[in-house]
Amino acid sequence: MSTMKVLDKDYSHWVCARCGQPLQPATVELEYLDSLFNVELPACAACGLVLIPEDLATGKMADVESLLEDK
Amino acid sequence: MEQAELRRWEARCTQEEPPRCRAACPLHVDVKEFCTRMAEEKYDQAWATLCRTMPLPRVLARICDGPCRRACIRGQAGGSIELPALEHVCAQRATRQPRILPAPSRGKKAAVLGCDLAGLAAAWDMTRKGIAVTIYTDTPPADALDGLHIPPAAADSIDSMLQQELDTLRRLGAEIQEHTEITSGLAAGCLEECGAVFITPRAYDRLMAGLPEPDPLTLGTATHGVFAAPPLPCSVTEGASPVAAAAQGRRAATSVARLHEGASLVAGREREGVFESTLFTSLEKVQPAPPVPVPAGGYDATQARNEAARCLRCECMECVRHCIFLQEYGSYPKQYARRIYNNESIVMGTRQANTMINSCMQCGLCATLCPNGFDMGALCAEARQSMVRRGKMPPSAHDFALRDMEFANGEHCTLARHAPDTQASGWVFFPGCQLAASDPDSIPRTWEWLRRHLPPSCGTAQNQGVGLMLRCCGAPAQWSGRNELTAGTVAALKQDWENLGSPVIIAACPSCAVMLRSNLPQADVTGLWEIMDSLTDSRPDILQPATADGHPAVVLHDPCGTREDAPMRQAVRSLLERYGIAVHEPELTAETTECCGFGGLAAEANAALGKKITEGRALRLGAPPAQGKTAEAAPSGTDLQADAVTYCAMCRDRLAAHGKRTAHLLDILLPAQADAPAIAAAPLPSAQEEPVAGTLPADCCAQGFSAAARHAPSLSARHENRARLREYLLTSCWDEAPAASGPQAALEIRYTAQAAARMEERRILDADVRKVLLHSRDNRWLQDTRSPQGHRLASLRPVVVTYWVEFTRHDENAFTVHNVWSHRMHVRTVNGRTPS
Amino acid sequence: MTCTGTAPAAACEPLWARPAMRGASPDAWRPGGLELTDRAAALAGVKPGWRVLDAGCGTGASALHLRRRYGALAAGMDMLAGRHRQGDVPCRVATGVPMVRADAMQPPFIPESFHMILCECVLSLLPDPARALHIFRNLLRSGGTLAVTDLYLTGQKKHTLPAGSCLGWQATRSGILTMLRQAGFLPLCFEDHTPMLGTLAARLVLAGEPLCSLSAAAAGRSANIPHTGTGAGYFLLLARRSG
Repeated sequence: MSTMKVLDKDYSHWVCARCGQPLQPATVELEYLDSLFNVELPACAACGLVLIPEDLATGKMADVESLLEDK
Repeated sequence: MEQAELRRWEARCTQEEPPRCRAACPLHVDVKEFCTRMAEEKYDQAWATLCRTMPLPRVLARICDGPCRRACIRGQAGGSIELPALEHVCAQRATRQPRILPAPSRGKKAAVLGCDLAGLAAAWDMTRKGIAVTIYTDTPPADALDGLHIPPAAADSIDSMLQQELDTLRRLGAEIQEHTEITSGLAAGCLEECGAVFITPRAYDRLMAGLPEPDPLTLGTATHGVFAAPPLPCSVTEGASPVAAAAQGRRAATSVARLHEGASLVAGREREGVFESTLFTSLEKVQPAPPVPVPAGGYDATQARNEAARCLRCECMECVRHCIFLQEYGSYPKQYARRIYNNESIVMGTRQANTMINSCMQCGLCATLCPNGFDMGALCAEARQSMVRRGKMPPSAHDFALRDMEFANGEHCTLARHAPDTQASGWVFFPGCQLAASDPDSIPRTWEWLRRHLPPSCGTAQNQGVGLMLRCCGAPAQWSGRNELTAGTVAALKQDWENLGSPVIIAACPSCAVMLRSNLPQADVTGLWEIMDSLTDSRPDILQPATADGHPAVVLHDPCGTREDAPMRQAVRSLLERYGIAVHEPELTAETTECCGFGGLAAEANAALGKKITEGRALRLGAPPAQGKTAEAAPSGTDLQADAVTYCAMCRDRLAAHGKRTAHLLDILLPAQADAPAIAAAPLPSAQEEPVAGTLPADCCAQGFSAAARHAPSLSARHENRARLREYLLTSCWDEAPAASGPQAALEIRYTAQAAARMEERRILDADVRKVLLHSRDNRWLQDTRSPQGHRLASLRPVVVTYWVEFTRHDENAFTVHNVWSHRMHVRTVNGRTPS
Repeated sequence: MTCTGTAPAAACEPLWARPAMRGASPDAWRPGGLELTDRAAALAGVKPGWRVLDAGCGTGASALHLRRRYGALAAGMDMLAGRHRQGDVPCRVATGVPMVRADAMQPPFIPESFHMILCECVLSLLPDPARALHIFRNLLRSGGTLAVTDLYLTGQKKHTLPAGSCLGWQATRSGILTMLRQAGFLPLCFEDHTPMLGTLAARLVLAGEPLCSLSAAAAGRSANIPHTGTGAGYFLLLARRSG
C-alpha cells in the first residue's frame, strides 16, 4: 500500500513539547472499522505523537468515516 | 427481510396503484397524463399519450364513450372529467401523428372473421406484434362502426377518419378481403392455414350458435386456436360501448400472440380488463367545481384547458405530504421498503439507505394517515435491529445519544429512593432524563408537590409516600435498534423499581410512558398530567399557575409519544381549561401530531434533517418565518401567535432552539418560586464579555409566558444538570455528601464563543475537554512556533473518539479553549512503530 | 362415490347424482370446483397446445375449462361418459371436448402421449389406486405432470370405514406421497384445501340437501363428504413423472 499525502501545508514549525522535537513527515497507519490506510502526517520522531489538523479531521477524515460506515 | 415480507410491506402502499380512471378504462389509457398535457394545451404530447394505448386512435378518440367517468373521483367534487370531449379536441388539434411501425414478421398468421371495431382493433394489435392478419368480411369496411354510438360532434369527420385508419392498417400489413361469406367452412379453412382465428361479435351469432360462451379471460373456445368475442350488451338508444369493443379485440389479439409464442394464455392477465384500483386520494382540500358544459360542436381551446385543469391528478402521498423525512428522500413508502430490502441484501458495495433508515422519527404519523396503516417507523425499526445484528449499524449514528443515556444511567445521575422519612412508596415519580437535563429545578418542586397532595393510598400507613427515580427509560437504546442494550437498561430499571416495592409509576414524559408500558408490562404507569388533573378537579387551589401578560392563550404541541395516549392528551387540555388558558390547536394535533425531530434519534443521526423537521414544526406552531422568507409555509390565521406549550422536555428545547417560544407545561402549572435555589448549570463560562448568543428573537412578543423564552441548555450543561440535580437532592433531602469529583473538576476552563459553538455543533462535551486538558498537563501538547498567539494543541482518545483541543494555558489549572474537533479514525502505527 | 350397507336408498345415492349438487357446484361436482382446477393449472404452468387428460372427467367441465382458458388440447375419460344421469334426466356433456368412455385402469391411449394428467376426486374411488398411478405414469411424457385432488385423512387415528367409501383408501398425506413415489413420481407440492369441503357442504345445505344426510357421513355409514370434524381433509398435489 503506498503512502498518501493528505495535507498541503508544511507543519515543520510545529514542535512536540514533551520531546522538544519539530514534527516531521511520517508514515502513519490509520484505522477505522477494519479498514487500514497509510498516510503521510506530521509526527514527532521521538514519541510518535501525530498531528491531525482540524480541516483534515472535519474534512477528508469525516468523509472517509462516513463512507466506511455505509458499507 | 425476506421477499415475502417485502411484498407484504409493498402491498400496503397504494401510491403505485393506477388512478381510478385508468383502472376503469378497458384500454387503460393514461388519463392523468393526458389531462396534464391538455391543461397545458400541449396537444401533440396529449395525443401521443392516447396513441400509446388506443388502437385506431383517430377513430376511437372521437367516439370514445368514456367509462372512466363512472370512476372519476372528481365526480364527488363537482362532476367527473368530461374526457370524451377532451379526447375529441385533442384529436382535432394534434398536428403530429406518432409513427406506427409494424413489427418484423415471425411467420405467424391469423384470421379475423368480420369487420367491426373489435376486429379492426384485434388486427391493429396483431400487426404490431408481427402477425400477418387477414380480415374476412361480407360487409364493407366503411360500415365497421355500425351499431356504435357516434357523438354528433364527430358525425361529419368519422367516415374519413375511419378510412385513414383503414389505410394505416393496410400499411401495417393487414389484408382486408371483402365480399366474403362468413361460414364455418371458412373458419375451419382459416384455422387450418393460420392456426389462429378470431370470431368478431359481428360474426359471433353465425358461427357460435348453440356453443358455450368463450372464456372471459382469454376469449378462448373449446376449439384450439379459435377465439371469439360475443356481442356486448347495449341499449337501443346508446349503442354498444366503442372502447369496450376495442378492448375485446385487444384481448383476442393478446391471446393469439401468446398462442403463437407458446406462452401461457393466462399469466399476468388478471388486470387486463376493468378493475378496481386501491389508490387512495384525499378529497379533503378539494374545492368542488362543476364540469365545463360541452357545447354541441365540442370544446374550444379555452374550455378544454379549463376542463382538463379540473383533473385532480390523483395520487396518494398522504404520508409524504405531512412528513419532512419522507419528503427528504424523494420517494414514497413502497419504494422505500424496496430500498431498505436492497440495502440489506447488498453483500459488497455501499449501503446508501443507512442514513435514511436512521432518519425516521418512528413517530407513527404515517401509519395514522395511511388508509392501509403503512408504518414507516416499524419498517425502519426492524431494519435498524437487523443492521445491529449483522454488525452493519454505522457507529457514529447513535453514539452520542447512547453515551448520553449511559451517563444518565450512571452513578453520577441515578437515584431510586423512597421519600425522606418514609420506608415505602405507593407511587414513584419518574421525571425522565431529558427533563432533568433541561430544567432540573422543576423536579424537586414537582416531587414535593406530589408528596404533599397525593393522598395516601388505601391500605396501611406504610404505603404512603411518593418515591423518586432518576434515570433514563431506555428509549435511545430501543430507537437505535440495540435490543440487548435495551434489555439490559430495562432490567436495571426494573430492579430499582422492584426494590422500591413495585409502586405505581408517575411519568412526566410521554415517551417514557410509552417505553415503560411496553417494556415493563407488570408496572402500573400513569402520566403526571392525569394525576394533576384528577387532584385539581376537586381542589383547583392546590396549583397556582403562572400568569401571562395579556389574555392567556397557548398553542398546544402534543409530543409524538401521546399519539395513542388520549387520556394524557385529555388531561393536559383539561388542566389548561381549568386555569383559564385558551388552547389553540395546530392543524396536525392529537393523533396526527408531528414529532419535534428527536423521535427515533432522527435528529441525532441526521442533524441537518433534524433541523429542517424542527423548523417545519415550529413554523406550523406559529413561529415567525426566517429572514427573507415569505410566510407562505406558515398557516393563516392569528391563532398561532401565542406562545407554544408542550409537555415533553425534548420537544420544548428543540422548538425553543428553532424559533418558537415554547414553555413546558410545568413552567406554567407549577412555576418556580422566586426564592427557590437554582440547580441548573450556568452556560459555559465565557472568555469574552458577551454571552453566548441564544437563538430566540430578542424582541419577543408582548404577550406570553416568560418561561417560553428560556433557552435550551448546551450539551455539556445537560450532563451537568443531571449530576447537579442528584447532588442537590442528596444534600437537601438526605443530608448526604456527594462523591468527591475527580481532578478534572478542579480545572478552571473558559471558552471562546467559537469554541462553545463548535462544541455544540461537533457534540463535544465540557467533560471531554477536561479529560484532554488534564492529560495535556504532562507536557503532552504540540505548539506552533510560528504563531504569535502561542496556542497549544492537545488530544486524547478516551474510548473510541479522539478529541483535539486548541487552548491557552494560564497556569496549571486555568485554561482558555479556542477550538475543538474530533475524529474516529485512529493512529495504529507511526513509521512502523506503535506510538508511546 | 358408492355406498355400502343397508342404508336407505336416498342416503346411498352418489353425491354427484343428487339434485342439490347441481345447484351447489354448477360446473363441477367436486369440492373446490374450477377454482381448484385453476390452481392446479397455474402450478403446473399449462401452456397452449399441451395435451392434457382429465381422468374421471364427469361431464368434462374441467377439460373444457382447460381448453378454453389455457388453450390446452384437453380430453376427458370417464366410465360413464355420456351416461351420467341425475335421476331420470341425462346430464349434458360439455360440448367440444373430446371424450372417451373407458375404465381408468385400461385407458385406450398411446403411452407417453400426455403433458399432464388431471385426476380430480377420483383416485380414492378406484379399486386399486396404486395400480392406477402406475398406469398414469406410463401415459405421461418424460417430465410430465400429474395433478391429483382428493380426500385424505388429516388426523392421527385411523378411521375404520367400509371399503369403497371415499375414505376407504385410508390415505394420509404420507401414505399418498409414498404411493406416488412407488409409482415413479416425484412429488412437487401438497396443498391442503380442506376449507373447500366445508364450503361445499354448506352450499349443499343451502341448495336443499338435508343436513342429516351429511351428518350420516360423519359416522361413516355411507360414503359422503364428511364433516371436517372427523379428521378428513381435501388436498391438491402436483407430481412429476420421474425418469
